[in-house]
Amino acid sequence: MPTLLIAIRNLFGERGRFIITVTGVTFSVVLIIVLQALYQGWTAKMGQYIEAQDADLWVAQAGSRDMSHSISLLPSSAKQTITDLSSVASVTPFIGKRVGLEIKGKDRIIYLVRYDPTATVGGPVKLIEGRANLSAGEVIIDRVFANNTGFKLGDTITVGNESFTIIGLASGGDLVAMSFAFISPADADRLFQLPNLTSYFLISVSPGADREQVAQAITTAVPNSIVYTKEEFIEINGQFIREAFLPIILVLVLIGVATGIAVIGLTIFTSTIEKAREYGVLKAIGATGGQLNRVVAIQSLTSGLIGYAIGVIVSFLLGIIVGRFVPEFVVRFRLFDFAWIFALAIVMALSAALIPTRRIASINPADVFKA
Amino acid sequence: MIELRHITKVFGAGDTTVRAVNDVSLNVRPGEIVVIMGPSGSGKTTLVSIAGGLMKPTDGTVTVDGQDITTKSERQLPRIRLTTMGFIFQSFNLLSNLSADENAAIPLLLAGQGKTEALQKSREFLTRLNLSHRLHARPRQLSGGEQQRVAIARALVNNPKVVFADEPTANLDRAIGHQVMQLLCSVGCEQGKSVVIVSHDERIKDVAHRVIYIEDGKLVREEPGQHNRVCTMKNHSFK
Ligand SMILES: Nc1ncnc2c1ncn2[C@@H]1O[C@H](COP(=O)(O)OP(=O)(O)OP(=O)(O)O)[C@@H](O)[C@H]1O
Ligand SMILES: [Mg+2]
Repeated sequence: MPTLLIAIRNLFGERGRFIITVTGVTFSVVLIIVLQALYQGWTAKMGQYIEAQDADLWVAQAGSRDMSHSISLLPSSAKQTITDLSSVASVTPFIGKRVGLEIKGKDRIIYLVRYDPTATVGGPVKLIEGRANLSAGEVIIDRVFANNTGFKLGDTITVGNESFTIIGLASGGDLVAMSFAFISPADADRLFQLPNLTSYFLISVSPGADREQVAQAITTAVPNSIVYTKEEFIEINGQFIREAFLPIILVLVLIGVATGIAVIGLTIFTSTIEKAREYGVLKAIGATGGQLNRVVAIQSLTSGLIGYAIGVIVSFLLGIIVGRFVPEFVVRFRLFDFAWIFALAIVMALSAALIPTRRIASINPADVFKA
Repeated sequence: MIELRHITKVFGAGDTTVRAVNDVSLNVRPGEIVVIMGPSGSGKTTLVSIAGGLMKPTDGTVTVDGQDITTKSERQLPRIRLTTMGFIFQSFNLLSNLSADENAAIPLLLAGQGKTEALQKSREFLTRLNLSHRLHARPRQLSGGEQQRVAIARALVNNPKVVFADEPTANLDRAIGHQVMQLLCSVGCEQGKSVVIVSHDERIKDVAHRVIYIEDGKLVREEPGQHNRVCTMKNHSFK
């Protein structure tokens, strides 16, 4: 294919310009991939604690939504009501409260959870350091929170006018803007001041039972309640990220796409203008307009695809390296995202290639006889 | 074979019209080499552009290899140029990022031939033009004479019926230019091409069978060239 030969020779014949184009595309692709991965990462993070709990259903107060932004209060007595329903294997109350702390001059939020070390659900997802058997005056915090604040095992956290000694570091309890911390039932009951109330009930249904049916039964039995399946509750907890960040991400993705098109478009356009004479010669010799457009399109696509490939690698490296130093940099790469961003890179390259086609069409082959 | 019938080309409109070519008729037979001479602005380039299907005449017809190209559409013309014509330019006009053999292979590649085959043919032509040692050089690494020989290979590689050259020696040293034209004409002549060369260079007359003079767009004079000095016809006889 002469068009491929000419396109590739032109691209690599102008190395400086080629590097600029590829760098521009890489930048745009990295921007889009990383944003998307952060978005996915954060959304996943909002649901990871729920995901890790061995509970099929979450019973919450009617009208409450996610754990980060709404409050759910249910009467503790409902535990018995639910336990009495058929197909319910276990019911565990989960009571927690968001508290704001000032740590070393910075405002932080933790979600304090009443944790009974004998319970099988509603505790830390995974203990990384220290121990889990809480006594009064002790707290287990999340590793991410420890990283952000510099707290270590044995340090003291002050909540209101009470002090807690850190006896354990756990993972899986970070919600980006806040994290779970676990205190003993005695401390929680005194601190929360919510007698006979709980936030949620975590339900395991009997093996083989229909979760939807059990959920329906609970909703009917417990007034003023709403029952989410595990998947629904994960979804609802990620919704805030979706609503808050999707419009921003959309704008940034558009900026990324515009940058990509502009960089490829400008370099390919200047290259076409510089090479107008050569395109004229090809026309005079007998190349068709389609063949010349193909030369431009191949150059544009090659830049786009190489930029995409480098962008994928750079994004992965950023995910690994930055994630190590910035705990909030939680990325989650999905094959689906790589696929649509790949398609986007192709669209970007082809749109950029449209810019010089008019210029090529306007070249008069008779002009090549002019010296 | 090329036939120009009453070609007229008028540029512009109203007071500013220029009659660049004025009722020119001309036949060039296969294997014949015609040199067109004339002062600057006399219409030589315009005439060649029309003959080569790069410009439409205001009046008249151009027949190349039996087909009237003035009636062909813009979509049909590239193919006709690609398969029946070769072009050689004053400023060589090679593709700067392609090697000599790739440059000369371009018309074959555009016509759809495979790369290996096309390059092989192009190298044969370059070898015939004494460039076997410069096959992989880029245009900027070649001298003017070498570049023009690559351009000649490119013009001939598709085995065209007609070859047009506009001031092919203007950017070359006189002696080199003459050698290059001798090469073009011996190959063109030998292969039975119709070759039209526009030139100011009096010395080129000796490669031609005929020399045509135009002034103010009009064909004013014709004289025989001295082609037999350089080009011995092998397969063609002229009546
Ligand atoms: N595109 C155009 N528009 C208007 N006038 C033109 C155009 N092309 C050529 N002309 C005019 O037509 C006349 C013939 O031009 P042409 O280029 O054919 O001359 P030429 O014999 O090739 O001259 P030279 O020896 O300088 O190359 C000139 O007067 C020129 O100004
Ligand atoms: Mg001219």
